Amino acid sequence: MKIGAFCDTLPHGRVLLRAEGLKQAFGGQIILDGLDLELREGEVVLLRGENGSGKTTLLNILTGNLEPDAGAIHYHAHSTPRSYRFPRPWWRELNPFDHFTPEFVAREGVRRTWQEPRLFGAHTLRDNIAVAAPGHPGENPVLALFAPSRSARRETELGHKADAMLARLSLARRQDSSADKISLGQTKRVAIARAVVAGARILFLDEPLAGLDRQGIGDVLELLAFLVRGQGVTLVIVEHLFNQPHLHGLVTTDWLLKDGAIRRTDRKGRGDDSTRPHSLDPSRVSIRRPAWFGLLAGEDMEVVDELLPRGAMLTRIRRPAASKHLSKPVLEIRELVVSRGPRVVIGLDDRGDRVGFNLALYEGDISVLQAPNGWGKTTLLFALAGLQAISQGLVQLRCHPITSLPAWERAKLGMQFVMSDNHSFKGLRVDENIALAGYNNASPGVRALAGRTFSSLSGGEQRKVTLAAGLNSAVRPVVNILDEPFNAFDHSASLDAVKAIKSSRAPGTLLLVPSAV
Amino acid sequence: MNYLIHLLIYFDIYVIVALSLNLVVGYCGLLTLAHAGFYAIGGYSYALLALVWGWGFLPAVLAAVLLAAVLSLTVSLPAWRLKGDFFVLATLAVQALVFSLLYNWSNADAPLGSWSNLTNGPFGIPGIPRPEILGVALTDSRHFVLLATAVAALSAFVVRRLTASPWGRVLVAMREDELAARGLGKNTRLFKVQAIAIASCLTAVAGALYAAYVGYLDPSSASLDESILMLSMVIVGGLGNFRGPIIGALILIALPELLRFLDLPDALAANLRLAIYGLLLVLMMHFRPQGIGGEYRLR
Ligand SMILES: Nc1ncnc2c1ncn2[C@@H]1O[C@H](COP(=O)(O)OP(=O)(O)OP(=O)(O)O)[C@@H](O)[C@H]1O
Repeated sequence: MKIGAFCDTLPHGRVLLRAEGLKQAFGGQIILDGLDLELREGEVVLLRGENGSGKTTLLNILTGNLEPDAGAIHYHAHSTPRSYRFPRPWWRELNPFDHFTPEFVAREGVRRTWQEPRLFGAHTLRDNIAVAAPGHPGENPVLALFAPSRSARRETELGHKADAMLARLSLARRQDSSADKISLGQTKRVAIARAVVAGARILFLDEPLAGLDRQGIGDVLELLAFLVRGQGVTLVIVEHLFNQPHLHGLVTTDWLLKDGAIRRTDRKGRGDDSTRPHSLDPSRVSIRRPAWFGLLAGEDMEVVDELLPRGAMLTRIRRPAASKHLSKPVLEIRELVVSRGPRVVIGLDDRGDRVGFNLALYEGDISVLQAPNGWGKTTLLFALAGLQAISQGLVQLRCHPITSLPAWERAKLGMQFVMSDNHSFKGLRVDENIALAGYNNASPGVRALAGRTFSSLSGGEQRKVTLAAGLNSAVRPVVNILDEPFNAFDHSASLDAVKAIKSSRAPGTLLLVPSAV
Repeated sequence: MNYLIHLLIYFDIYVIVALSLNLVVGYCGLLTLAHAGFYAIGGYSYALLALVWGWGFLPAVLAAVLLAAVLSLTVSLPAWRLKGDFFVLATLAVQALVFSLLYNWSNADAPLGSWSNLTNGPFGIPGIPRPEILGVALTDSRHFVLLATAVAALSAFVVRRLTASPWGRVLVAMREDELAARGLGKNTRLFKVQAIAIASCLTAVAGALYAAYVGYLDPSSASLDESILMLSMVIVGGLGNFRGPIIGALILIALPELLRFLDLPDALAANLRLAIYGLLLVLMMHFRPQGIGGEYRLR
């Protein structure tokens, strides 16, 4: 990836954002402990830290989504700087022009994106971008009513700007399609573009690459490079471990969040790999493999690739040690066709003919299905779980057809699922969640979280619980099916996850991931 | 002919109500039960000002609108923080408060409109005068319908222009994802205050028209049933666009009239009407949750 060589030469300008002595605790647990930081113009910061170290909390604080317990934040992006000191005296809340909320911080040129794109589904793509523009006269109902020409003039201007932006994102002819009809990679780029059109000087990005295939990652990186170079936007990026190497050409500064404080390191030049954990180095494995692949496949294992229709690939890791019956199928999918509405999602071949989808999992295998975004990964998972009706075809678990069984019967027969968006019971405590899944020998990492409610956990912590609960949901597990199992994990959590997957009692395992090809 | 004019006036009034309610429910995604309260506030303000103090139609309506705008804060301030079920409960409280004020602010010994007998309680206000505009008293329904239609058309124009404007676009963005909208620098609290105030003002105008047309007003115009009828219009017709509420007003005005042709005994007909409303709502929720012509479904 050749983006971003310019970063090295860019002199880092004035301070845009400064925080002093930030403190934040949740119920006695100290997350930020007198944290200081300084963000300069032109920097591209990679914010790293273990699961639960407080990255999201810090992001929420700096963008006005959460009030810290103590400390001060100074925003200098505009000519008149603005400072907030915490705790804020109650009487400040009486002044309607002095609040510490996302909309007020946004006025200081600070924007953020979330892990999910959060586009406005009812709006067209053009409106999604245009709505973000600040200071639009037409947003005043009186002017909208009585001075429509003023509003219209601004609107035309904005329309051109939005169209130009969409053209940059190669969505030139899609301005009028609604935001929920484009691929994940595209929505992520529109969400970033939206933040920038709104006049971002500092943009915080929460896992901008999560869930994307190789193509999507390339596209988002290109956009980020354009923002830094063309628009002079300063970036702070939180990205999970396996996607961090993609950002290498771009990042100028590392912030390591540990024990409630930040340790800052400036990267001297490109290719400074000292921050990359060696066991996870993607350059050691073939380019077609996801970065964590080396952790799953040992030296003694045979790896077989098989191309599937429409750009997907199935990689089998055959583990002779795990089973004596290596060629016995545990799960067979034959001529499966699944539709969502009128559209056939699973079961088309490369020419678009409806031939049905075939796949077999064998005993002792760990199979990895890599598919591009929009291929129908989640639909396939839901169809296997019995949560999505299938139009045609057969699914057999240990030679018993399960196609007509409801979801809970499938689970009873030994199918275990780990969904990508942490389907757990949000209001319950961690131990209750695990007990519901019938799990009683949780790993130490998960046991440490017992007693917390699920919704209060960090992204990575939620993922750990979901994985632990999912991999132990059946009494006699037969297959594990996991959607993007390593998302959101730090190094040690990834190792734990690999161990859990390898040591699962289920004879068959299928991982679904976005293409790294 | 008179019958059709009568229906058209009702339709005019409820088009204003449904379009304005749609601003809150369909565009902001805030389900309010207090709308009939503002309708009654409009009606009572006009009735008292015109009847007791002899104000003309335009100044009285203007005062009613201002009062509704100020009182709409009772709905929009809770909307700053509350969402979903809790917001519905807060609006239910506002509705109950308005109703009980209108119902209880009476004293048989004091004259109507005095401080101790402002609303005449359950007996209502009879003899509300028809408006006089530019020196023409609209006592004839054939003249009144012109006024009602003109006001409805003007309201429709206002709603149409506002919802098609960047202001309406922000409302929809806020409805889809409030946090994302705030993250883009939109002061969503202000937008909620504006939208709810505008909707309350419009429905107060409709209430004043109703009081002027019928000539009699009692607290039932602020009842929960009335709010639910209004909600049924926008839900059946469809939320989040212009044509939905108009279709809804048409259907819910036409339905009881059609039933009338069935020639049922009175006692049965009234109950049957309610049962049919209920059935209609249940069927809509199940088969077409976005309403007949709508774009947005309540979650
Ligand atoms: N609202 C809350 N109530 C209680 N505890 C919370 C709350 N929000 C976060 N925490 C806790 O604060 C810690 C930091 O959470 P945060 O989400 O900031 O971590 P993170 O660094 O983003 O982690 P990850 O890499 O897993 O996303 C976690 O231990 C989390 O459980």
